[in-house]
Amino acid sequence: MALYLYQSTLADFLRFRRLVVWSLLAVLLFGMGRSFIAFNPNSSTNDVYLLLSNVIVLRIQALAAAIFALQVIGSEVEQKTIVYLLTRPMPRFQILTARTLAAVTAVLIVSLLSLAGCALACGGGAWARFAQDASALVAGAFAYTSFFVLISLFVQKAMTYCLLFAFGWETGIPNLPGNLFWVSINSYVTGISQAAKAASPNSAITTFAGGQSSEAITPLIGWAAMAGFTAFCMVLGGWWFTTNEYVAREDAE
Amino acid sequence: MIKLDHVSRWYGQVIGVNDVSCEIGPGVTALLGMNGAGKSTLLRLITGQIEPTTGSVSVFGENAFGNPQVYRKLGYCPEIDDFYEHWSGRKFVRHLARLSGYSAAEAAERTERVLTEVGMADRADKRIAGYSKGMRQRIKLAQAMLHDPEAILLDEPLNGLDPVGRREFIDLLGILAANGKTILVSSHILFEVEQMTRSILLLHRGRLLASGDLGVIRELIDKYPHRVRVETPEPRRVAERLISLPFVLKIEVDPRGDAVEVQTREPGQFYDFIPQLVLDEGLPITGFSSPDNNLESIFGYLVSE
Repeated sequence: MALYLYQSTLADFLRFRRLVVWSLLAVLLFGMGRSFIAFNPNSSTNDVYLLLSNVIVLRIQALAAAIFALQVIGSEVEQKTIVYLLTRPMPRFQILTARTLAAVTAVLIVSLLSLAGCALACGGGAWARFAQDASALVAGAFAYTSFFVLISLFVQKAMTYCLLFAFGWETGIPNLPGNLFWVSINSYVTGISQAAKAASPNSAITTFAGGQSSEAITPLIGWAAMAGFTAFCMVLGGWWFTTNEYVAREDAE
Repeated sequence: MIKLDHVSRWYGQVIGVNDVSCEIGPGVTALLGMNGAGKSTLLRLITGQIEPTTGSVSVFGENAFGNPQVYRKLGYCPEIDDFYEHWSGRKFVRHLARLSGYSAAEAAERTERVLTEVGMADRADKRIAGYSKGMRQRIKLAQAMLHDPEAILLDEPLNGLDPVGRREFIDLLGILAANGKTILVSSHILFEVEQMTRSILLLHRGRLLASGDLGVIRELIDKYPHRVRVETPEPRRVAERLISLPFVLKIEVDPRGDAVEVQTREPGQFYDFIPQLVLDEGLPITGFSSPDNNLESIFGYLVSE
């Protein structure tokens, strides 16, 4: 049942129309990359790729995570279709886990599409880094999605909070002076990709993509932190979803 | 099978269900009450979507809240009219069959069978977004029945069904009940309920006012004079004729001059006599209705007892 729910949820998340939209975004990134290189002939294609992949793609990933995570339970409650899920002979923890994993997979696929768009635009050395950046996206997909699912379980209309986190907190915190970067998912993801180390000394990425966090956070620390954080969010979410009521607000007479 | 023991449920300061105790066994039981009486809350308590604030709900001997074991034996047709609109009815039912633990082949087989039973087999490939209210009701009923549950809970299932659909639906409930299923149907329309069952639970403002045979309620109603509003352009002529009938107790002419209100202890005889008055005596009667044929007046009687 859990496997079926995972598959059917993923198929719904990535139905053709939606996939077209995310693919267009990847095409847009390809265009941005080509334009960047065309208008800045002196810049290294490696730096352009790193900037796009670790700044733009990570923002796209956070956005995708917010969108898909809210469809795990939040939109089911808003559309009132949650009743059909909750009255099936399936433990709530399984329902949440299967749907969250489907969302993680969807986030990862659309992130990888965007990353591929960047790599295609920059070519050459970009593909050499693709695997490492893709692995960072895996960690990011799990961490962002499970965290946003947790938020959606706690509050109604969670999109505002998720977007504030994705574009406010995650943009600002990793680049603030001091040690605040430790409390940002973005820091760990860029730590896993080690983008700043791979860039030229004066590259914009050291400013925009949490350069200082990349110094402190090794891939090992990044993976450990993201795995722990994801597990924490999923376990807490599972417990919360199992013990609390999820009935559409208008129906709660 | 389904047992509620002093169950109360509060929504903040508002009480949804107040100290309800009852047992529901095989056969059709109607949950009767006006809008806002607590019917849907009671059904959500039984289906384990919400927990009671006090008291306990047990279904087949188990605590209902979030219990997968209960859902194997329980089918639920909610009042809500919301679906995955971009799916077809067939896909929706088959999806829920898979989530009930059936293999792809068995889910497909059960889906076809249950869609045939609810009369949707030939229309189930259209997108739900284009369905009429009646078609949506049938799909909801199909998903509730597909795992052959021992108990089926239906929240206002006749809403939106046409007369033929209602008849088919009521017949289907009769068949299910004859097969030993426990069926609980909520409704706010007494007339609907009378066609389904004589066993009722009567809810009013969250309290269980009465339970048992519908005849008890009917007898209670019959203790009071039955009111009938007769519409006519000649109220004085009609009143003069009607007051001569032995089973008419009282007549009032509407101040607007377009109707009279009759009180009688023999509503059956009175209704039988009306066609004779129109056809044989040419009394200009354009319509009639009874303000007593609604739940509100029944609750009024019960509360005043």
